[in-house]
Amino acid sequence: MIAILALASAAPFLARAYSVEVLILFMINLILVCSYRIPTMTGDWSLSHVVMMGVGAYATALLSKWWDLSILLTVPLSAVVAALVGFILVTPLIRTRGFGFFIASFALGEFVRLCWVKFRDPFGGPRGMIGIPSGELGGIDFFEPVPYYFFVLVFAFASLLVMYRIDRSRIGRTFKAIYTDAELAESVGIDVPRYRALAFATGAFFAGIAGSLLAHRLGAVDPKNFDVTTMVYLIIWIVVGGTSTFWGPIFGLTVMSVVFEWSRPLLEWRPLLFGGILIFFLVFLPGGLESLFGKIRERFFARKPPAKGSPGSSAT
Amino acid sequence: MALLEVRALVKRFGGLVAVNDVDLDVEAGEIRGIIGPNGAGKTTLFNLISGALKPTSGTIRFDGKTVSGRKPSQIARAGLVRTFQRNAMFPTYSVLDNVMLARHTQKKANLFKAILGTDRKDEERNLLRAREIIGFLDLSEFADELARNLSHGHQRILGIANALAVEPKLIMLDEPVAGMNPTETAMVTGHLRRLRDEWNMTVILVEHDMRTVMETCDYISVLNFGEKLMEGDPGQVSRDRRVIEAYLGSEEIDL
Repeated sequence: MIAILALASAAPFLARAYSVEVLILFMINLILVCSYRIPTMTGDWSLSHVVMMGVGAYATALLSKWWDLSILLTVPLSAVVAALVGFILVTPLIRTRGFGFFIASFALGEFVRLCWVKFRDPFGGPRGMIGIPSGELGGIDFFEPVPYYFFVLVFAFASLLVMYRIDRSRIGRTFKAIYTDAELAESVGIDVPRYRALAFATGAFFAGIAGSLLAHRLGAVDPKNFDVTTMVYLIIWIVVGGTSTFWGPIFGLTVMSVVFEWSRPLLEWRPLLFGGILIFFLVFLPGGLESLFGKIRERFFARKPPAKGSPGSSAT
Repeated sequence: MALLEVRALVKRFGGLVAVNDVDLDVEAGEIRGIIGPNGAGKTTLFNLISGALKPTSGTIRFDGKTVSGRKPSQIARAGLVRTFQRNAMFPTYSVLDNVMLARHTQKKANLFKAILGTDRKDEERNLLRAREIIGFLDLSEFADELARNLSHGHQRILGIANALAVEPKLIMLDEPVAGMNPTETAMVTGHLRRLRDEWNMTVILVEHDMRTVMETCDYISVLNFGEKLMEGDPGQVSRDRRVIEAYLGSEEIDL
């Protein structure tokens, strides 16, 4: 992990300015894709997660334009706003499960997005808002990519650390228990709706951080940035990587970011390529790239048979 | 006052009255059997008490508190825990982790504590208790085995272990010996008696297997067509004309 941090710290000095911009976006996406995994841990696949990111971005735009708050305040406050909006949205969604949740979350997400489009004041209407300050800290202007890179790096590292802790904690295991068997979880006293709401709001919180960091970088928010097309990219990352471990989404994002950069010459054919990749993974590797590790381990390091197993029932 | 008091409980599904005006008193420390032919309303009664279904009318009081209309998780936290007819467990977790998962309600999980890792003390206490429960049910040698690799009988016992993990006062079992061979059945009934005698647990047993019910239960309530036909100890029930008639034609009574 120290090696990764060292590499990440050295990266902006080794790379060209354009690449630093790509790395900044990569880390923002890293927060986003890891945050999306939290509600999926309980089995809730939401189609409104990028809208939660948008809530963070719009909150940042409003906070910094109205009150001229420091970037140190806008990022966490936007995250809190996103978590609150997430909590409000998920309250009716909790009544649905599976495909119903998927579609209902899309509808509610579109409702929020259309609010931005319809209300020119304060959201700027279909063209969004511009003139968001890139922020500065102690005299360092974050308009320059390298300082902002380090600012994002700190937030990405902290966010991922916290999300990793959640994954490992008993709350993370409770989320997975709900996914495994919601009825059993309820019967052993786990308040399933409450934990599903907690997972959704926590995911929205970190998506809000990602959205806020993005808004400061782009200097503008556009409702089109948070529509279903972006959501499909998020789903491709997470399907390619897999969701059963913390590392899956990170892996998927990394691979797909490389593919994304390489496929720039393809221009308008690129969505076709990405669609093809999505279908390929859904059909041939539904567990994502992370499931390959398990398969490789099984093939080459044949697991020693369970020491005792469960003896034939009559033997006991 | 009885630990579980069911009063004038009614459940209608459209025009069908599945449970009709049932009263039930279960005293602390007894093993209560609930039997009846197919379609007698046993499972509906079970689901009403555990909170999976909401009663049309009537009340259920547990440990002095009204629990009817509450969510299953709330009822479980109040100390009334159910098991399932299917082999309900967390199949990709080890036996020990299953019980640990089920113990998560013991201390209210706190997101910030969990992130900081300051709930380690609770976790250690949970682990000790989980091992104790597994040991009590003779599952210790499978503690690190994945639940899905267990035999059918052990999976059912794991279901009981998961229920005990919640530290219930009353445990309600839905056909715990279904599909078991006689050895496994004896194992389960042995555990149930020891639960009553050593842990002073109250047990409600909804069961098809007559022999198990007659041998294990202190007191038996018989349901028929959604109504309570009679109550009594195993001797009274097995001699009762109405019970024998209710079973004839639907199922052989095997005593």
